[in-house]
Amino acid sequence: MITATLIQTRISWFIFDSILLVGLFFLSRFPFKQLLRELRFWTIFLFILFLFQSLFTPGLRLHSFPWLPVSKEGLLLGGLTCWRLGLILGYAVVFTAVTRPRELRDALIWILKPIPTLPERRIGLMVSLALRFFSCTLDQAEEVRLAHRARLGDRNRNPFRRIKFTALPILRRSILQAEDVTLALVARGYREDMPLKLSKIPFSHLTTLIIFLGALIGVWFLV
Amino acid sequence: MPVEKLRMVVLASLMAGLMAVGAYIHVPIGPVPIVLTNLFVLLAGLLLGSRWGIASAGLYLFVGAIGMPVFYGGKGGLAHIFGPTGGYLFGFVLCAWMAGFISERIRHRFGGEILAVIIGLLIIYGLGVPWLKMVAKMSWSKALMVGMIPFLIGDAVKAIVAIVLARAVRPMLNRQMQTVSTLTPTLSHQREREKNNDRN
Repeated sequence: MITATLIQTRISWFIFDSILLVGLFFLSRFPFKQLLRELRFWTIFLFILFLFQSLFTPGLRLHSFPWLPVSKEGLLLGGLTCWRLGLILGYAVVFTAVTRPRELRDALIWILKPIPTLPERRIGLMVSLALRFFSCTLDQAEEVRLAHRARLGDRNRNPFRRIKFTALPILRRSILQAEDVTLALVARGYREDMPLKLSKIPFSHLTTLIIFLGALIGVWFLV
Repeated sequence: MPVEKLRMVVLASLMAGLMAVGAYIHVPIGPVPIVLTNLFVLLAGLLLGSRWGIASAGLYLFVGAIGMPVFYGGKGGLAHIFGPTGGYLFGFVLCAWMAGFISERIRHRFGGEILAVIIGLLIIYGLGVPWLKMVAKMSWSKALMVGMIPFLIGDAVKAIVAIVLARAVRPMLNRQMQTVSTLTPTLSHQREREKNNDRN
């Protein structure tokens, strides 16, 4: 729903999305410093994008600052583009930071269950395995990096050797781990037709969702 | 589910996990750092083939779409996919399929693998640069300057390393496959015995 509103070009939608983001940010109790840290790289990208748009878009020069090589249209276009991208990134950061992987996986299986052709259990298994491998491999990557450093490997400037000596041990260990997981699944008799136990959505969450949906429909008709 | 299929499901999940890890590993070369996601996308295609390669890249995209922080810089969410770098992310899926398809057709010959990674990388840029141009409303020259030229050297390095890694790891995967194949009859016999015991 939020993505649908972000595709719109009217400023009123941008204001609605910004207010909603600020509200969600305060509700999530996400630390402001961490948000700034997460968006640090993107701020540079957005600034470069803004400069490109304002410097190279043809149009009228500013009356107050005629010596500035920027156009009015460029400033407007650059500002709107950066605003939209900033909102997209803000939503992505807040949502990622406050949702648990298990909740996401359960929601995913619940959403995919009514679709007859999709193997929702297999997709759920793959998602949970990918997340598990992700965290395990990050630990392994750190171990390999420290071992590499202990052998003074970090002094080597050759990028081929650096990638090879980082990626190859991680890959080998990960494949062995994957084989262990396969055998463990087989040994436990993994089946896709087992009954599914999903936790129910709390009443308070349902109420918030209905209020949010009502506000969205209201704004849609007002705009 | 057959053991071979379950094994491919686990390996595709592993490659998706590695793609996510690749987004966190930076190798600093010059002003633009190398991020290893492309490397693992190519590797998924080369090692798992077209079908499971596209499954692993699709899974990576899917995990990112549902909000997990698996994209570059620890980002995730549907909004990120439709952001400026979304074209590259969709390009990963096609890249894994194409790399796997070519690699399967030429039966893992060295020259063919080089062709597979080059075409795979071209697909990523073929989707990523026009997407960047469209979302960021840039001109073609600017989009190429921001989204392709600075990454070419890094990608060439990654393509070579992907081939080296694929050739180093493939014998190990084949060996493991043989082990699993020998294990399959044993397990099926065991299950049949259990069923018979239940009936009795």
